Amino acid sequence: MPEMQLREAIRAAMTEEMERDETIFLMGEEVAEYNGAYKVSEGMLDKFGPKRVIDTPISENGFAGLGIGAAMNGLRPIIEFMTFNFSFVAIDQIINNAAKIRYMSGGQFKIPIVFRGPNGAAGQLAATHSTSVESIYAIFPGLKVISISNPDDAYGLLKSAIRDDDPVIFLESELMYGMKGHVDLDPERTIPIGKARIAREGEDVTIIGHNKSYWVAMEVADRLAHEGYSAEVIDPRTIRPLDFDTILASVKKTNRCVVIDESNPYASIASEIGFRLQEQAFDYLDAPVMRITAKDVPAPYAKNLIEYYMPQADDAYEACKKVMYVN
Amino acid sequence: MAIPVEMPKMSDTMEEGVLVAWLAEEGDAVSAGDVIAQVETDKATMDLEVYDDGVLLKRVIEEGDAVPIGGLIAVLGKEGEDISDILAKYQAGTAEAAASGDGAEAEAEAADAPAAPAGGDGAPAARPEPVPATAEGEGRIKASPLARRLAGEHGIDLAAVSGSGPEGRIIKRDIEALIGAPKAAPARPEPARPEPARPEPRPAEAEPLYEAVPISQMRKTIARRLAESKFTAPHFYLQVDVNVEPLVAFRRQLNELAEAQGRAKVSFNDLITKACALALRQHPQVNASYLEKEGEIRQYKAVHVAVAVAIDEGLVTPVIRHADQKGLAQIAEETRALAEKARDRKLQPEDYTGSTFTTSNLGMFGIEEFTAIINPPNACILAIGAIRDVPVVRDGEVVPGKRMKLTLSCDHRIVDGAVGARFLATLQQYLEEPMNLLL
Amino acid sequence: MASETQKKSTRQRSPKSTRASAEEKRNGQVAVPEVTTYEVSFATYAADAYGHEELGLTPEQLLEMYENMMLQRRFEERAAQMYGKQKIAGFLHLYIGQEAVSTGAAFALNIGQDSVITAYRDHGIGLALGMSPNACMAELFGKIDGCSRGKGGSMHYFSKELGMFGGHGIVGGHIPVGTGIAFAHKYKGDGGVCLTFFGDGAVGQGSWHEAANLASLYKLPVVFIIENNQYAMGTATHRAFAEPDFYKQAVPYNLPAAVVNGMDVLAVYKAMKDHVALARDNQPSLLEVRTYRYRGHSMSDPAKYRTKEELEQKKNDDPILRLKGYLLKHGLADNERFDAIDERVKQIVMESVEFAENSPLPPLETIYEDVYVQKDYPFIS
Repeated sequence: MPEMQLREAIRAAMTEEMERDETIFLMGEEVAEYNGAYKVSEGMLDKFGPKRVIDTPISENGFAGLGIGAAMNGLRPIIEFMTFNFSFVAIDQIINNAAKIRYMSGGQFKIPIVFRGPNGAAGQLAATHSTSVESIYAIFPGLKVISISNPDDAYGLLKSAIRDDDPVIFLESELMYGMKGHVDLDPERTIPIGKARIAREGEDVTIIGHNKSYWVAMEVADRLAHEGYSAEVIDPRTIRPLDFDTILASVKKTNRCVVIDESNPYASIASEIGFRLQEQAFDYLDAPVMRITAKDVPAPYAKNLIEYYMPQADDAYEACKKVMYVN
Repeated sequence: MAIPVEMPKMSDTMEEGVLVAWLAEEGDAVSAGDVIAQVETDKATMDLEVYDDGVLLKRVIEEGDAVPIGGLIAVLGKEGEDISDILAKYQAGTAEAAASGDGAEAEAEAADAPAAPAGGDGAPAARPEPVPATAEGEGRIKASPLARRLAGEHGIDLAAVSGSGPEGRIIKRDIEALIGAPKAAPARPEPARPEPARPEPRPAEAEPLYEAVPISQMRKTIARRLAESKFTAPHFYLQVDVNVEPLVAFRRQLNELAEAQGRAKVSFNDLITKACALALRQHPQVNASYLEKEGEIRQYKAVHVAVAVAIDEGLVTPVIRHADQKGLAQIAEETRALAEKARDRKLQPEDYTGSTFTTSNLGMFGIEEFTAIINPPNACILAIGAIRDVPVVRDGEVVPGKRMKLTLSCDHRIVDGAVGARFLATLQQYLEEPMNLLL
Repeated sequence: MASETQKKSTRQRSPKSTRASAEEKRNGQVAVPEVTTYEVSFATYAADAYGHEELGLTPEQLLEMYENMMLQRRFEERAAQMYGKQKIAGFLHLYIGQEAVSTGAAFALNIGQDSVITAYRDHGIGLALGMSPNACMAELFGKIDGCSRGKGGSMHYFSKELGMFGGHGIVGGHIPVGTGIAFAHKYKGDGGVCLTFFGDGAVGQGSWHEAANLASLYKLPVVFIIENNQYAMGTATHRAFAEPDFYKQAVPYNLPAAVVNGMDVLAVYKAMKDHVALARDNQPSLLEVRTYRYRGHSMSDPAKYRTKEELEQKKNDDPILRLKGYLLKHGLADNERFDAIDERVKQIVMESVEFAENSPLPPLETIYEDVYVQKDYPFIS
């Protein structure tokens, strides 16, 4: 298994799929001649030509809608947002058209489209460039939402997303594009949408984290392990549909759960998981479900403030100790 | 369905157990309640009961093997049943643990963990003392949903349970403590560790320079607990030299009476236990614990005096509960029975947990004086020396007398010099005027 | 309709703009000419300017156009009645008065190959393309046999078979989608084009401007059609737009454009034919079709923002009467023929009402159908 960067894994997935299926094209700002704002699509213009790797003007509503129309009419677009913060000027396209047209047409049209790009905070980019959008898109039936934490999952899940006949929001991370990991390259291999990954088995507490928060979860689990506590770490990978069965089974075993989520706390994925656990695992909970999220403010610029804004490993660690009733 | 038999938690400080003897063979039919093996914990050798009927399909471990709590010991089931799934499942768990890091290092860190449960007499040092779940002025019982369910399943009335969670919340471990479930929460599986150090076969030509003796569970616990005590509780020592002539005479009278009634004889140690208990009642600051993590000092309402008992494998501290309320004869009988159980390694957790004060007596070895290490979470320990024949000056003349040195080790975080001194003075007074012990 | 001029005018704009020359660019200097001018002219398609023979239409085709328009008219009149009887709920936006636009467009297309997308006032184009009146009425009734299985309602007519990519409820939201449909036609090389209809109100949305730029930039086979019915809900165009001559919207996007009298189906047909032909050559374009709706914006709109006189005057311009007059005037059909068509249309519409009445409500379990293609999607329940 070769080791590659996250950006390379994403590129490999797109390239393999585009080689397999001519109806797939990549469109977005700076994806072609510039080779991608984050070099994800580097070399793809040379490989596939301008018909299939297409630069756009700064016009998210326009090219998001264009992708949806193309998907309705038989193509499989991959629409790259330079960051998902920019998807907000295209949000009508995503939530009113991509998510709903199939339903409103009584199932006549399918919308096999992938919207992908980096999500969440990436250092000192301040409020407009740091939003974590999972819960915003996961609200809408008709969309699927994937949020990946490592190159292999990115590879396998992006391929599934491209092959999926429903619209998929595929969330990456600027900060992780350079992260290296082993990727099991195989044109036939995909990772199913809607399956969580138990990254680490444990008995004492379940820690859930996706995207960058997954790594916070692993750090906390390591610290707990040094003290003799065994944490089970789950990376949901798919936010919608959420693999709640895996979460439920884990919490029924550990009786405790801490969710780490980079989103703002209000109506977040962490809230959703917490709610469903009280609903479905009530009699198995030995402690309240706790969540560690971004602070309930817009992302600030100052270094110390943005660091404080992000979910803290220390806080997650303390939360785990608290739900385990140990000091 | 095959049923795994796991290593139960048999004491609140136990982290792993060593299977010392199998009492059932593979293929034996067993019923719930049957003892299939004996397990050495850090405290005692315990019977391993099964909770289900079935055939003992597999003895997974061998005598001498150490298994962490929750580890697989045996598999029960129907004759001929496939148990490979169960074995694989536990195997996977072990492999994972082994892969998770250097065993020895992990163990060392685990031992250092600030939350390491108390050993020694097993008092719940690292855990908040249970408080009644029904908070004053509030009728409802706070219990986690899981605890409620477990209580319901076992017919336990929550009103009678003390909760150890925040604000007295009853949590899983509180219920499990009552139902004797094998695993209190959170489980603290021992990190992967090497096999108990059996002497490695060595090359014949090299004469071994030492004999390697495996560290027993008890020894490990003693080592950790006493080190923790000595290094966290700042000890200081107070000593009195007690005139025990009246005590000697008093004891002789008592024992003549006991002999006539066919009751157990009272030892000096029993008298001291009683004296300590009465003195503790008058000095609640000494009958206390300093609990840093809970942010409080607890002055206990009951007086439970532990008595250190030496046994072959080490040291145990059975507890005379409510010693202040018990007569001398009862104390004598209980102490004797507990010491016997200790030597037979039959002590049950309730026999050695919950002390509020401890005494240690080396007088029988001729030790005149010594200092003892406090048995956490006690505030003090009393070291009792031998009774000495000494020349004393009485009415201006040198006459033979009897003296005994008592050395009190105090945790300065909670007991200051004057407090300890006043307690010791009270104790001395009881011993020098022993008739008061009867009042 | 001030800007209607002669039927023959320069169809293609002819820009005479002074731009920085390539040479100046090579010098690496920012170049600003001393004076810059931009002249452009637009084709217009006037009413009563075209005969059927020159358009290549037979008298039978004209009668089909008549029947097509009449079906839309009678269908919506009946729908309005059913709304009053509470058989139909929600929003019901009627197209009455604008039928020449839908019919003229439908007759200019290769239905099945080409595509159409429009906004929420979508009954007309749906019926014009040949959607089943039964399915359309059942959709308004919210029944399982509706064209969208009772899930879309009045604003969301779809027919994949006929290339009807929907009525869409968000003003302007579908314009980029129409652009994408055209993108796919070109990408696949299937020869299809996409007519993207929207109202005058949608011109104020950014999505139109983004879509126009993309279509022109990528040379997509799309015809953008602004159905200017003079009012965005209750707001007259001059109250909402600094430049109410919407064909001029084409200029910044380098699109050919023309103005069409939407009350004459033959003018519309001619304009559509011409611009669909451009689209088949991957030349996107814009048509501003000036039309008029006789009803309020929706059923709850008393249309107080216009005078009775204005309405009466426009009714004299009724596109259905205009075509009927043309056929009578040229002796291509007699009243008997019209009566027969009217009667047939009436029957079709009555039957659609009966069909809608008798169609079952969608079974509750269908609520979870068609959200995803994935059949076993785990909904939260």
